[in-house]
Formats: sequence, structure tokens, C-alpha cells
Amino acid sequence: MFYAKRALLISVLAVALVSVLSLAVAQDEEMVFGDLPRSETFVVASQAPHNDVWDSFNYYQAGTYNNATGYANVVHEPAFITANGFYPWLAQSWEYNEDGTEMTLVITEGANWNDGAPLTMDDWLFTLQYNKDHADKGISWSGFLSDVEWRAEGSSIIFTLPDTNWRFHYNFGGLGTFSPIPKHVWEGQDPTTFKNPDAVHSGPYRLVSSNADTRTTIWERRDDYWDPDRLPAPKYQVWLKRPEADVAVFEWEDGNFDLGRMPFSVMTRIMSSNPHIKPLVHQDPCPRALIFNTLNPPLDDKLFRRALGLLLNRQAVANLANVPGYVTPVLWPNLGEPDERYYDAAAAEEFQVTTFDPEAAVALLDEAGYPLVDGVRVNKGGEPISLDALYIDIGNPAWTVWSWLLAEQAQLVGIEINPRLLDIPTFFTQLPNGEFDIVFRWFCGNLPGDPVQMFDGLHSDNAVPIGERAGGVPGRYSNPDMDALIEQIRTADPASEEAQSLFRQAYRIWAEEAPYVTLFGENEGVVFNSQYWTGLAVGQPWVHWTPAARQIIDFLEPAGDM
Amino acid sequence: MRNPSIIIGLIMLALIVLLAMAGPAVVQQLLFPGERPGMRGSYRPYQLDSPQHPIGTDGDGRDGLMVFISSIGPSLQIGLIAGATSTSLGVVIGFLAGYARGRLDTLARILIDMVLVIPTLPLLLMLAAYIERWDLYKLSLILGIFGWSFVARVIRPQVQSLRERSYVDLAVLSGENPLEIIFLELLPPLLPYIGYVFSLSIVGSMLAEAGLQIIGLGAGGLPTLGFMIAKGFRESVIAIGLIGQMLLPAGALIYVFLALNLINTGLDEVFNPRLKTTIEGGD
Amino acid sequence: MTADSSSVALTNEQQTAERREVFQYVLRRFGVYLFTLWAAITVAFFIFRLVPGDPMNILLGNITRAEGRQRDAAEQEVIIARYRKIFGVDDPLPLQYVNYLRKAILGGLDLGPSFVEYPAQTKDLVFRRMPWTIGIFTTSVLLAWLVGTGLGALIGWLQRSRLSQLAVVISTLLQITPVYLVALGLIIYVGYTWRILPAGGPYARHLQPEWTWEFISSLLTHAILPMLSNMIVIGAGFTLGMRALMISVLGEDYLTFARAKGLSPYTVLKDYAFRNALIPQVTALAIIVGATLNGTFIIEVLFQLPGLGTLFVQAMGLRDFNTMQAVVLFSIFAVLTLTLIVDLALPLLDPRVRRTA
Repeated sequence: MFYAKRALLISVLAVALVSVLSLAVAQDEEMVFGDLPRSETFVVASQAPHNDVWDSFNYYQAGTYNNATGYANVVHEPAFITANGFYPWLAQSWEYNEDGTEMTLVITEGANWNDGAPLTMDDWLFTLQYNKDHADKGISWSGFLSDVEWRAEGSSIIFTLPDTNWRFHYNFGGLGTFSPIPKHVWEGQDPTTFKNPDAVHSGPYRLVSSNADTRTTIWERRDDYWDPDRLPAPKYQVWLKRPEADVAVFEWEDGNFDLGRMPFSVMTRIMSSNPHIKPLVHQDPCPRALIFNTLNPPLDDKLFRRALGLLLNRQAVANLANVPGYVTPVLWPNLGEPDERYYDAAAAEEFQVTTFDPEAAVALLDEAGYPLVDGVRVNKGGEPISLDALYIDIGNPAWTVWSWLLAEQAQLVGIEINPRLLDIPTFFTQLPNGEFDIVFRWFCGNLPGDPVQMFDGLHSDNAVPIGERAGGVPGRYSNPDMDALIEQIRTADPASEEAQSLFRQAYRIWAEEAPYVTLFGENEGVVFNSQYWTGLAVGQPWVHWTPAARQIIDFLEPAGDM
Repeated sequence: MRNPSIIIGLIMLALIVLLAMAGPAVVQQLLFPGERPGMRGSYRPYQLDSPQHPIGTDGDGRDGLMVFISSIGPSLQIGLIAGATSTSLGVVIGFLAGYARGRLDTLARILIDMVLVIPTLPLLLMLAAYIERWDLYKLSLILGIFGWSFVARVIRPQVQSLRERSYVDLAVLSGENPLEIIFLELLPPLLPYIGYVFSLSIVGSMLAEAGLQIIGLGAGGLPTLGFMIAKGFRESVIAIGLIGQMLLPAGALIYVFLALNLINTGLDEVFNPRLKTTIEGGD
Repeated sequence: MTADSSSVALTNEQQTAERREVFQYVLRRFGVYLFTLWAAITVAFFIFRLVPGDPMNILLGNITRAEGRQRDAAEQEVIIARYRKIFGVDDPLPLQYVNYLRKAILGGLDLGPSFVEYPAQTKDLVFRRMPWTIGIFTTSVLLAWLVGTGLGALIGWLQRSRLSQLAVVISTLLQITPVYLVALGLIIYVGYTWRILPAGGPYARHLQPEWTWEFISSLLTHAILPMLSNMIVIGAGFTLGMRALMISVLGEDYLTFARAKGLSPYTVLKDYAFRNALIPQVTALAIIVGATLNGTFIIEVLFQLPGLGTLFVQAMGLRDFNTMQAVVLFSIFAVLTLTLIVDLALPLLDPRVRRTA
């Protein structure tokens, strides 16, 4: 009895205390961006390189990288999200017929657009035709449709392909991925000039305002989103262009941003002054490599190329990392654990892929006929060897220092290598035109279980004369054996034993010929502020600059609930 | 005549030249025996200040102090060559344009105005495409050649104004030839201003050089003060907490400018004695 | 020998002759102005097209980096063909040049589409960003000039005093300090440590431009720090320049003469020294106003202002000819026009120059 009374008293007091406290909290509710409650707003400090387009929400426009305004991340949804696998989103599944000439895509039913209209098969068919019709405008996702037929059957679209192709579904689930657009908005519009001013797509947010002066876009959650299970927690999202790092550190320290990219070098400082800040590190899907121009002697000699590869101290580059594990030597162009089915361990061993061994390099150079004359290695014509190593500086030491380390090692064995810093536009012109000896480059586009991009760019189709623009790997490499393998790989089902054997053979040629050598895989970091929102953690399947970022916001939970 | 300004300025200059010449070896001996502090990748990058690294390490894994010390020499050379080139070119053209009348003057001013308004960055990028190997001297000359227009533009109207003074008319009447007039009558009163422009050109070139290195013209990663500042800006060294790597090179530039200006002021007092009396009278 | 004494007793004939002379001077000066304008625009046009770096390749390179996806060769060709056509870079250079001038003059400043914000028109981009550059930078240069000129004259006059020597040292320090450090210092201390003023953006993020007190006050408070950073550095330069000019002028005979006549120091300063030193200083103003466009891009970046400086740098990064040209066109026009105004105004300040003409 006594205890019950006391319990009652305590609970009454507790209730009173809680209500007073919550009242105080409610009164102190912090407002940001005018009248948005801070605790219900998710603020992203985005940093797309050249984006300054804030009034257009259009994936077809070449200059509009929609991940600055957040359109790509909170509104535009892909067919499948690709991270460490394919996640069904606006489409459910795909299936090939037995010879890979037909693919059936099952779309997600019951989806709707953020203006309330339903997302139907009509929209899918409209989009496919729209892309095909506008192929001459160079828009994304038009090339793959040019010789493809399709028809709808229930909630499936059946694509008839001209040739066997086991990779057709990549068009719906790669890094830059196909997605339907609302017919009632886009019909009659030009894909390169239409701005989609209301930002209509299937995501869970609606556009409130977007301002090019302040570079700020404000989104509000809609309650009629088609998949209630995936309704994100934040009521508002604000996407703004991150200030320069020097200024942005203060915004982070004040807790004004929730998610964004910052240089690793300043993270330690931010974290020590704001305990809520955490780094979220994830592996960038594009490993970095060095391409040799195989038309420029002595780089036309595979032994010489391999010797240069042996002079690369990848571990030293990795050691320059400010945060441990920031860069790691790449053992295999497809990141992650080398998959024995796709690579030839014996070849890697035999040709010392990714090994740092100056003595072996010397032996190789002597053997290949580049003798040391008065301390300088000479080429077959008896002239001193001198090569340029081109790099760009985006404020990341690992991107620049390799050239100096390589030059230093090369000098020790008598080869002159001149590191040359290029401004980015010049770099992007000289690279495809083949105006380089050795160049730094990233390799994107490998998908889980299919390292097709590792070799595809080495096809001799890309070996055009210097000065002409080449696709693929612009090192002008050509080898009939490699061509034959690449052509077989292109039509093979990547999961088949046959394809895996082809990959292993191509790997052996690559390792022996070294048309390019791998450098490192890089971790990318975003900064996360857990003061108002929690739920993001290392290991979740997303990369912040790809469409996979749509998944980020589903993991968010209000910090108050914890 | 002993002038304190000149003496202090000269001592300051001598000190920094000494630092540029002997500094790297001394720092190497005192702080890093047996190490390679100036080599990229020697240390973990962006280390904060410590007894081992007084101003931390830079983004390329070098010791910041070593980078700073070895940057002074090349910077001074660039500043001197480029500053002298641009000032002398600018003074010559400015005098010609200011002294000449009619067509020549019109042509000269069109040229000056054009060079002044066309941005130099694209011009430099064009050059970068045609010159294969860069070294310090080519770099400085190019900077000088692009820097003259500012000097010419500010000198010209002064010459123009001066040449209309009565004492110049007097000199013309007394049969002095144009060269005599320029060197004896027009140049001396403008010397303080030219001196000021010269010191500005020197320090300006030391700063502008960084821009060239960043767009790929650099003489193979030549360490300079300007480049150190530009690199620090791009790598946000202040945000990291490596303030020394920004303040030291900026301070060195200010120091050089101060020293040059002191010498300039002193020379002025020596060679322009009238100035002194005027001012003393004015107090 | 000042303006007042020479223009007192002129006969009617002399006045008419002088008027004709002035008219001819103005006319000729205007002709030179038009010619320089044309020549500078022409040179700029060809320079931008000869700079290495093909915008199409850069665009593709950026897309691959942003999308993380290699487009196949056929897709690349389509994109390149299309944008080459839009930018008219397939025509021979002389034809491109004629087309450019024709559209710019007859087409109501049609400077073509931009790459930076495709499909926005270059003209619209420049007009949208111009107010920020003019409003913040040009105004601060003018203010800096006024303060710097006054201060410089004073320091030059009082050369021997301790205070003026201190002022010289401080201005020297400020002039050579990279503007980036000054701006960042203001941002760190005024903006974040003391929290006196907002230190980023053109106005508060939730506002839209409109004629309300909230917007205007936000605009003004946001403008203070960038203007101040610009003023400090440029003002220091003007101060030192004016000081050097004053010292030159102070050494001259006629000042000694004026002193000897028994004129008060103030009259000597105002009517003799200051007036004569002012001419080159006015010229310098015109130059600096033009140079701010390129020089203050760092301020625009640090303070997140949508001005022309950042636009130019962005356009340079994409080799976006049309936008680069448009910005430079604006800058050429501004500097040359200012120079013209200065040249036309100089005779008012200094009658001796008028005789040259």
C-alpha cells in the first residue's frame, strides 16, 4: 500500500516533470531555413564538381549532375539500385531466355509520381520510346535502345535483342541507370532543354524551393509515397552547396550540416570539436591505375612497361594516407577480394603484378635491351630515356604523389621521368587523344561478379592514331589475341564457367603485357552528424555519388528516439 | 650619406638571401640528420606542429619547414627576373607612349589597353601547349612579359602630365634632345613611384607564379612561396590547423616587400633632397 | 599654374576654339575607344579558341567521372556531334568569328548557349551574376579608392611622423597579404568566433529575392564582410600608391615655390600636391575595377557569392568558350569604358593634359 502510494506519487511527479521538460523543449525548438524545425530537417552539404544548376531537375542534361540539388538522391529513383548487389526499386526482376536474345523486365506495380499521378506501364513505354526517339541528342540511355524491340505483357516488358547479350540488364542497374519518366510531364518536351521545374519523379519528397543564388534546395516529404515501408524519417531535406573546406569546418563544428563530403585531413579537427560528427568511410567503386601509351617507345615494349610497374611502390602511396586505410594497394582491378574464378593467380605471381621490386625491374630492363650508359638508361636507338608522367591535383595527395615516387625510383635505375601537373580541362583532352606517356586514371564501371570493364577498353578499336579521340583505355593498346578474348567475353554470360575461363585467359595476357598497371583503391569519406539523425553506419551498401544514394535516407532515424 | 632606411632594408634583404642560400642545408643538419625532409612521401602528410616538424608536414608528406626554406630561393629569383623584366618593359613603353604625341601615342595606348583587358590565364595556357620543358628562367621571363601592361598604364599618364610642365618646355627650348629630356627631366621625379611599382612587381610575380604552376606550366614542381600558398589554399591547411604553412610564406612575401620599400624610401630621401626640405617645411 | 588661374580671362574667340578642340578630343578618344574595344574582343575570341582543351572531351570526361559509367563509343560520338553543332565549332574559325559578332551585335547580345549551365543562355547567366559583382566588388573598390586616396595623401604629406610610418607598414602588410587570408580571417573571427555578421552566401538561405525588409537587411548584412575583405586589400594598395605619388609631387619646384610664397600648408596640400598626384591615381582606379573581376574570385568562392569571377573560373574549367567570352566581354567593356571616362575627365582635373590632346 505504502509502496503503491509512493509509486503513484513518483509517477505523477515524473509525468509532470516530463511534460514540463517537453514543453520547454517544444518552446526551444530550433528553427532553420526560415521555419523548418531542425529536428525534422536533414541537411546535406553536397559538393558536385561543376554543378551550378539549381533550377533544372533533368537527368538527360549533360551538364546537370543532379546529386547537388538532391534530386538524384531523394526524388529520382532508378529501376534497380546497384551497390554490392542489385536492389529492386522501380523494377522487380529481370530474366533472360535460354540464348540471351530476350530479356523480360518485371516492373514494380502501384508506384506513383510525387505529383500524385500513378506510375504505370504507359510511363515505362513512353520513356523507352522517348529515349529512342531522342538518341540523336546524345542523351543518356538512348544508345542501348537503338536496335532493340520491346513489348509489354502485363507488368513485364519483353526486350528483343539483336544479338546474344547477357549484360542488357546493366542498363537498368548500372551506376548511371535508366529510369522511367512521367509521361504527363515530359510529353512533347525536349530532353536537353526541359527543366522539369517541379522536379516530378517517384521519390518520397516534393520540391519546396530551389535558389541559384544561395545554392539551396528545400524538399518536403510527401505522405502519399507509393511504398510506405520505405518512407524516410526526415520531414524536410535541405541540399546546399558545401562551402570551401576552410569555411565548412565551422558549419560542421556548429552542427549545421548532417551529411556531406569533407577532406579526410580536416576530419580529425571536426570530430574533436563536435563529438556528434562521425566519418563514414566507403570504398570508391573506381580503382585508380596508370595507363601507358603503347605507341611511344620504349613504352611499346611490354618488358619495359612491366619494369615500370615493378618500380611502383604502391604501399608508399598508401602510407601517405592521412586516415589509415584511406588508400590501399589494388591487387586486382575489381575492388575487394580477388575472385579466383575470374583471375589467374599463377599469372599474377609469374608477372609480379602489383609487386614493388626495383631489382627485378633492373633485371628486366637489362634483359630487354635498355642498358645503363654513364648512369642513364638508353633506348634501342642509344638515346637517354625520358618520359612524362601526367597527373591532376584535386587536393588529394594520393593522386599526385605516385608520380614523384615513381620518378624517384626510376631515377635510381637510370630512367628520367618528369611528373607534370596538368590543369583538369587539359588533362581531359590529352588523355583520350593519347598525348601522354604515362597517365593517372580511374577505372569505373565494374559490376559485382563481372570485371568486364577491366579488359573491354583494351580492344584495338580504341587504338586510333595519337591526336584522335579514343574511347576505352586510351593507351593505344592492340593485340589480336586480346581482341578475340574481349569479343567472346562481350557475348558470354558472365556467370558461366566459359566466361570465367575467358576472363582468366585475358587476365594472363593483361598481366604479361601490362598495357596499364593498377595503383590503388581509394576509400571515400562522408561526414555524418549524429546529433539530429542516426542510422548511418560504415558497411551499408551505398556510395554517396551514385543513384544508390537513394538508399541512404531510408536508414535515417531521428536521434531523439534512441 | 648614411640613411637608416636603406641600411635596414639592405640588412633585411641580405638576411633573407642568406636564409635562402644556407637555410636548407642548416635545417637539414639541425633537424633532420639522415632524413630526406624535402622528398615527397617521407612522412605521413598533414601532421600537426610538433618538435620534429615545427610547422607540420604538408600534403605530399614533406616537412613544412623544409619546403618553406627551400621555396625562398627560387621565389626570390623569379621575383627579381620577372619584376625587373616587367618594370623595365613597362617603364620604357609607358615613357614612349607618354612622351610621344599623335599616332604613336594612340597606337601605344591601344596596345597597352588591350594587353591590360585580355585575361592572361588563357594566353598562358596557350603557351603551355607550345613550350615543352619549363625552367625557372623561362617561367620568370613569361611572367615579366605579361606583367608590363600594368606598369605602362600607370606610368604613361604621369609622363604625359609631367611633360606639359613649364620646366620641360624650358628644356625643349634650351635645345635638349628627347632622350636627355626623358632621362634628365622626366625620369628623376618619377623614380619613387617606379620604385614602388618595381617592388610591387617583384612580390606580385612571386605570387602570380603559383597560378602558372597550377595550370601545368610549372617547371617540374619547383618549390616556391606562391605555390606553397596556393597549395595550402587548395588543401585547406588552415582548417586542418597547419597555420604556419600559410603564414610563413605569406610573411616572407610581406618581408621582402617591406625591405624593398624601405630601400626605395631611403633612396628617395637621398636622391630627392628637395623632398626633405619641403616636408620639413610642411611640418 | 592651376586650372583656376589659366581659365579666368579667356576671350570669346579663345573659348570657341577651345570648345572645338575639346569636341575633337572627345571624338577622337571615342574612336580609339571603339577600335580598342573591337580589337580586344577579337583577340579574346581567337585566344579562347586556341587554348588547348576540347570542351567536348572535357564534358565527356566529367560525365564519366560524375556518372561513374563509361559510355560506349557510339554514344560518345552522338554527344560530341550534337554539342559541336550547338557551339558551332565545326565551322572554320573566321566564319565562327563573323557569326559570333553578327549574333552579338544584331541578335541583341546573343552570345550563344552555355556549357556551365546548359541549356541556359550565356547572356542570361552573365546578367544574373553581374549584379553581385557590380554591387559588391565595384562598390567596395570605389570605397577603397576614396579611403585609400585620402589616407595615402595624408601619409605622404606627413611623411616624417611616426603615425604615418606606422600606417605605411600596416598598409604594406595588408597589401601583400593574400586576399584569401584576409577574407578567411574575417570569416573565422567576425563570422564564426564572435558571430557578429553572417559569413557566407548572398542572403539567408530560405529567402527569395523580393522587396521586403527581411530580404534587404539580409542582403546588406551578408554583403559587409566580402566588401570589407576586398576594401582592406585594395584600399591598402591605393594608400601606398597615393603615398608614392604624393612624395613624387612634393619634391617638385612649384611646391617649394608655393611654400615660399607663404601659402598655408593646407592650401599647398589641397590645391597643389593632392591635385597633381590624383591623376595617375584615377587611372589606377579604372584598372583596378577591371582587375577585380579576375582577382576577387577567391572572395566569391569563400563567401559563396554567385558572381562573375566564379562563373569565369567554372567556364574555364569546362573550356566553355561562350561563357568565358561573355564574361571577358563584360570585363573588357567595363575597363575600357571606365578608362574612357577617366581620360575624358582628366582634362577637368589637369588642364595641361587637355593641351596634349
